[in-house]
Amino acid sequence: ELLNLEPGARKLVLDVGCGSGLSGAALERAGHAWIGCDVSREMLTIASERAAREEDEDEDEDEDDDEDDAMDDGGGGAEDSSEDGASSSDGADGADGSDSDGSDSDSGAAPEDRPVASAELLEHDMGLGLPFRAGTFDGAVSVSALQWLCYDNATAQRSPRRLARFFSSLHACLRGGARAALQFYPENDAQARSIALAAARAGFSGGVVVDFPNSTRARKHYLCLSTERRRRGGVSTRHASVFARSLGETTP
Amino acid sequence: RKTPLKHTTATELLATCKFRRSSYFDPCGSGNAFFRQVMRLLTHNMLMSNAKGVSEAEGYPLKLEATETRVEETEFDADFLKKTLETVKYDALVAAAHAVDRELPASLDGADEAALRAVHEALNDVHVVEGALVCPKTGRRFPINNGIPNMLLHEDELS
Repeated sequence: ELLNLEPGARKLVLDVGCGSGLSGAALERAGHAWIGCDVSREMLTIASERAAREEDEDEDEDEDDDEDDAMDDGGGGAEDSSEDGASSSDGADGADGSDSDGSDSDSGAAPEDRPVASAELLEHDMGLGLPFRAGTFDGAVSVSALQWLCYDNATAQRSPRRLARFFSSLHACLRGGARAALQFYPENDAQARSIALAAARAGFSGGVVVDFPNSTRARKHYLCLSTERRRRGGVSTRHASVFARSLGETTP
Repeated sequence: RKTPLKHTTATELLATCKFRRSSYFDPCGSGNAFFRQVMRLLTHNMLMSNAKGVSEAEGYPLKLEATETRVEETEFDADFLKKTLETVKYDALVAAAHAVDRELPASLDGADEAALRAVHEALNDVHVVEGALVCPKTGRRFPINNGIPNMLLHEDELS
């Protein structure tokens, strides 16, 4: 909805910090193709398994419980059980998967029935700038990733440079008029402002929309950006309602 | 990920999330990796080197080297393909297709269905599992492992 993509058309969307592919799956359900970047190769591996599994199992509703477990736990004892869980589910799927080149009657649909693959994955740090040629994407999304640009990297890449590189390259690789909807968790107002300011410097217009601003748990910040220049320009952190009106769209 | 800690770098936090590679590839020990989505030529067409000192004109297109590929057929839709081709740099596609042993015509006739099918297959059906993307200006190699290109820049490549 925020991306203002033409309904029914298949677009190419960038998923920044795509992780294990949950948000990408939502893009696929909406009929779009997407390319995801993440700094964690482990998460990308999970994402690519998920994509293959969803293609193979049309009727199988036994979703990625074990992958969700693997994603949620941060380490320690729980890790082994989730790893076993993932193995056992992969054990079941492996049989289907290894036949996916067509010989299996259940999951190996005829080539004509297979959808065009939707997802592509890259190992990359968004703070280094996005490695795409100009005007590649019809939109960009992100879930819970941008706040990482506010921290300095261990290799002494300072936050301001990382923010600048990210937003300028994002602006360049979006098609003219394309939008970005980037959900993030700022630690404080200063972080939210520095992110919004970096976006404005890169030439974006837009604003930060806060859902449930009074709830610590449910509060979510969405950085909503457009590559179209508006009269006001810049990215506002306060006047979210003005932003919504200036875009002339339904309320996010 | 929802509650970033103070005084901790992003890299340190990521290091504490240990996702070990379990047996995604070979759960049955049968030697058959079950097929995963890996980099295809449509993505190659979008990628460039953004290292320091390399402009978009110099860093695109990346030269594709493929040491291991897989083919998975997908549905051919001529109209959809033509729409996709509006944003594809065709010369770069021809060069990449050549790298995976597929020859495409130097210029594409929209009425030639056989040619369109060949283009569709090159774009959508060839998966590069192992290989590299090479910067045409500097020769810098971005490796592709398990179908995922690693575009991470080194410290000295940052502008």
